Amino acid sequence: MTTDPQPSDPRRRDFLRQVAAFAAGALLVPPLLDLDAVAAEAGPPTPDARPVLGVATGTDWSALPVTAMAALGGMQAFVKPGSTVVVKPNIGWDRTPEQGANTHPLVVASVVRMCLTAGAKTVRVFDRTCNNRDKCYANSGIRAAVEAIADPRVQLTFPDDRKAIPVRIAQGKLITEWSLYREALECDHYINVPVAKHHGLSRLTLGIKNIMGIMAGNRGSIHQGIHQKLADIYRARPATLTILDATRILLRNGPQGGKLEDVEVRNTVAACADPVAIDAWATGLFGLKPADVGYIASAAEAGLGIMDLDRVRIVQA
Amino acid sequence: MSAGHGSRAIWVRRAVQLGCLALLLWLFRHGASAEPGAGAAWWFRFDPLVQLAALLADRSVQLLAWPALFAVALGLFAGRVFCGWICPLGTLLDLWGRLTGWFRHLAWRDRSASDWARLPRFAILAAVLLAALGGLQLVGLVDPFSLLVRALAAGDPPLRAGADAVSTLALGSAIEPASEAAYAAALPWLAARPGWPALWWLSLALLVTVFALELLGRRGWCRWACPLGALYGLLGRWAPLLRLPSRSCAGCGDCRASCDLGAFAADGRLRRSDCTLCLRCVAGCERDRAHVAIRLPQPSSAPPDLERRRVLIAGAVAAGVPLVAAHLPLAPLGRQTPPIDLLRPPGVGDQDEAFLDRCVRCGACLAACPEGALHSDGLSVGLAGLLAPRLSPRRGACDPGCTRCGDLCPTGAIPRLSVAEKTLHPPGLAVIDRQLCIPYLRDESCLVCEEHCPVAEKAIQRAAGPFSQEVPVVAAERCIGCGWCEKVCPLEGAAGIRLVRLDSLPAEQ
Repeated sequence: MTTDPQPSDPRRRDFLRQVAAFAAGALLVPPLLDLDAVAAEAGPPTPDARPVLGVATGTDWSALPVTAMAALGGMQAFVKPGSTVVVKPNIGWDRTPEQGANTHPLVVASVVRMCLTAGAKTVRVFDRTCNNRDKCYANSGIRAAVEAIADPRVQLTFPDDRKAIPVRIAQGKLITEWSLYREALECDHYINVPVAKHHGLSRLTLGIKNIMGIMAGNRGSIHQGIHQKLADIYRARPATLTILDATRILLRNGPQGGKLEDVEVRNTVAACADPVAIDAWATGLFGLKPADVGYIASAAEAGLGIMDLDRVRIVQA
Repeated sequence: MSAGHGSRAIWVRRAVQLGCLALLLWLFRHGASAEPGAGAAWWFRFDPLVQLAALLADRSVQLLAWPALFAVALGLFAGRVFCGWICPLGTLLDLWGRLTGWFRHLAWRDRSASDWARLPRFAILAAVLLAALGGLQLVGLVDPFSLLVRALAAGDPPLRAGADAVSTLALGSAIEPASEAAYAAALPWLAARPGWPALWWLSLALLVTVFALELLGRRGWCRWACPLGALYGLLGRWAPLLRLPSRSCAGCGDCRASCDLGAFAADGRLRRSDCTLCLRCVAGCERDRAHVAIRLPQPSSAPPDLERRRVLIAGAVAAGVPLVAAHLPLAPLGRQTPPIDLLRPPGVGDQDEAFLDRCVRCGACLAACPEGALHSDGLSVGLAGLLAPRLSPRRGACDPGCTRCGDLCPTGAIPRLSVAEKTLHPPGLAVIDRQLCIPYLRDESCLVCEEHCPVAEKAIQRAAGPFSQEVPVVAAERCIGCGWCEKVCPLEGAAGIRLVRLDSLPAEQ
C-alpha cells in the first residue's frame, strides 16, 4: 500500500504551528518556513514498497475517479473525517471542457464529492489561472460543477498573492525559496487533480507540473531550467494524492490548445499516491517514455517517487 | 410651493441625488466585471458636453449620442436642475462640503456675489469646444464625469494598496482569518484591473483639484469651473421651470445666505445660469414667497445675467490659445508621429487622427477593461493625445474573447467589433527582440510566450536556436495582436517580445 499521510503527525503539528506563527508574526523581516520536515513526512515511499496506480476507463466520467480510487482503498484511506482538504485542478486557461486545456469538471466534482463522503470538514478548490480568473473558472465548467454540489463545506476560491507564505526549500538545486499559497500549505490533505496534455517546453503537463497552481509570484522564471525547478518546488509541498484526468487529452498546441482536432478522447482517469509514478505512467498515453519528460527524471532523482514502471503495481479497474 | 413643502422636497432631492450617485457607481463596477453588460460608459451617452465635443472634433453625428438629447431637453426645460438633482459629482461635493464647512467658514469670505467669478466656467466651456473644433480634444480634462470615472478607474489599486498597508500594520498581514470574510465580501469589487494604471496620479490629482475648490466656496467647482454646468446654464436661459421671484426681496437676505451656488448677485438679482433649483431658498423662506413655478419665457424681461460682452471677450481669448495650439506643430502640443509601441484599443489600428477626435478621454474603457490592458496615455503624441487610452500589453493583454471597450465606448471612438472581427484588426503585431529574448542570448529554456499564445495554431512557433534550447519565432500572418506574449515574458522590465504598431512594420513583400 502507500504511505499514509497522517495529519496528527507531530512534525505536521510543528509545521502548522510555524504557519500560525508566521501569520501572526512581525513581517518586517519575513521568516521563512522550512518545509523539508513536511516533505520528508509526506514524501516518497520506501524504495522496496511498490506504489499502487489505479487506472479506470469508461464513458461515465463522473464514475472514473471513484473506480480508480477503489484500487487505492478508496478516498477514506487518505482523507480523514474532520480534515481540511485542498483539491487543486488545472483551471489555467479560458477554454471549454471539450478543448482539453483544463481538468474536466465532472472529474473535479467527483473528487470533491469523494472527499465529502470521506468526512472532510472543508474542501477548498482553487487554481492560479493564466487567463482572466473569472473566465477560466466559468468557461472551464468547474465553477458550475463545484457550485452544483451545493454543500457549505465546499469552497471555490481565488488564490491571492497576499495569502502566500515564503517557503525555504533547503534541498532545492535551483530554487531554494518560493512563496506558496497558504491554503495549500495549511490543509491536511492536498489532492492534485491535473489534466494530461501537451506542453511546448516541457513536452507534457502532468501532475508534477500542476504544482505551479499553488505558486505565488512571477512563475515565468520557472521556465529557465524548468525540469529541475519543478522538482525543487514539488518538494516543498508534495501532494497527498494525484488523480490524473485523461478523459480526453490535448495532443498538440498545448498547454491551452483551442482546436478540437488536437483533442483525443481516452475515457481514462488514474490515481496514485506517488507523483512520479503516475506522471511516468501518463507519458504512455502520448506514446512517450517516462525519461522523455525532463521533470519526471528530475523528480525521481530528487527521491520524490518512482519512475520505473516495472516497480509500480498498476491496477486496471 | 410653501416652505414646508420645500423642506420635504429637499429630502426628495437628496434621495434622487444619492440614487443617481449609486447608479453611476453601480454602472462603474458592473462595467469592470468580465460579464458583458452595462458600464460607466452609459452615463456618457447622456452627457451633452462630451457628445458635443466629439461631434465638433469629428464633424460627424453618431447615433450613439441620441440619449444626450434627453439631457438637452432637460436643460431647455429646467436649466441647471441637473446640477442640483442628478450630477453625482455634485452630490459628492455636497457630502464633502458638509465635512469641510468649518474650514470654509474659517478661512474664506464668500466671493459669490462677483459676476466675474462666473466667467471661468464659460471660458472653459468655450475653450474646450473651440479646441475640439480645432482638433484638440481636451474635454476629458474638465468634463465632471470623465474626471470622476477616470479617478475611480485609477484610484482602485492605490486604495487597495493603502488598505493592505493599513491591514498589514494592524494585523500583521494583508489578509487574516479575521478579515477573510470581509475580503470574500469585497472580492467582487476588487476583481478587475490588476496592477497600477499608468498616470493614475494625474487622474487622482485632477479630481482632488475639484474637491479642493469646495474649500474655497460651496460647490466651488460648479460655480466657477464646471463647463457642463455652464452648458446647462446656457440651455436654460429661457427655461420655463424657474424659481420665483427673480430677485431676493428687499430687506431680507435669506435666500442669498442659503444659496449653495451663490446665485444671487450683489443687487439681489437671481442669476438663472447659477440656479440649480435645489430648493434651499424655498424651504428657508419665512414669508412663503420663494417658490418654483412654470412660466413661459418672456425674452424682453429675461435677466441680463450672462453679461454678454464679458462672456464674448472671455470666450474669444480662451479660444485663441487652443486653436493656435492645435495647428502649430509645437512639441508637445501638436500631434506627433506615434512611437512604435503606442497601441490603441482594439479595432482602432493605426487610425490615430480620427480616434483622437472622437475619443473624449472619459475613461469608461479603462474602467471596463477586465485585463487592465488599457491605460491613460501621457504626451507621447503631444497634448492632442493626453489621457487618451492606449493598450499596454506589458501590463495586461487584450484578451481575444473580450470586446468590452468597443461595446461600451460612448462616442464610437473604439469601434464595435465582434470577437471574430477583432482578430482581423490587431492593434499591433508581436516582434521578438533577439537582444533581450532569453533563449536567443544564452543556453536557457523559456518559451513562455509560445505557451501563452492563445491562437489555436500557435502564432509563436518553436525553432532551433543558437544554443541547445528552442527559441520562439513569430508567425506574423497568424498573430492577432493580443499581447499575451508581451504580458507573460518572464524578463524583468521590458519584454523580449513586444507588440509594435502596424504602421511601423515594413510593408509586406
